[in-house]
Amino acid sequence: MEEIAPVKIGPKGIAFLLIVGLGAWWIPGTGHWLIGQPKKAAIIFLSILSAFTLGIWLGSIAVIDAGTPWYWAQMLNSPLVAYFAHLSSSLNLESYGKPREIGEIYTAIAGMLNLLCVVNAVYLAHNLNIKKAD
Amino acid sequence: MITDTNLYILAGFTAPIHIGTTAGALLLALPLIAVIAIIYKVTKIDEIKFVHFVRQVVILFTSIVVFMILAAAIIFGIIKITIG
Repeated sequence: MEEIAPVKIGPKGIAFLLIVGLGAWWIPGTGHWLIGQPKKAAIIFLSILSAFTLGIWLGSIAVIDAGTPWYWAQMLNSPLVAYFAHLSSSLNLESYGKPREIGEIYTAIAGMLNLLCVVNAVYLAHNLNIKKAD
Repeated sequence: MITDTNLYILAGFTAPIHIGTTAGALLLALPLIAVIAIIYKVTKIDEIKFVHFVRQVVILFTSIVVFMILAAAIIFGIIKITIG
């Protein structure tokens, strides 16, 4: 059986993966844009933003509550979500019942979908690194 | 710091909308299913070609909706048989 030699990726390659991963987390779609896939980047950006915006419109920004486990999933949309949590608590906004429930589901699922996109962008960036190394 | 501009922008997002406990509220699942289908297909398809991409998204969206309806019907049937 033919052995596959491991591909060494230098510090530049690792830095590229980190930039793609962090970029994709900060602004949905940025990761795909950085690896040269602008169509995918635009679709991801608009889709994640739509789901998140619909979530906070349905339940108000009170659905972003740092005291609930949903917050960790919502933070996957972008670290900027922390600002909404700050606004929500400083304005003493409240949301209960079905609107809150649906708003939490929308914003949290948008976050988890962004995590999927982050992983996908880093994987594709890693493939680019391997191609360059070859 | 919360400025007037921030408050103006966020004004539409400071109070929840009314969602009744009706069958119609279930329709709110559809936009979320659409987004899930779009993102999933974006990560799976190598190159985005509009017609092919839209077709794939529609197929996945329809599959999810149909299976959710089937699951709901089965659960409803089980509850009717066991509880009445």
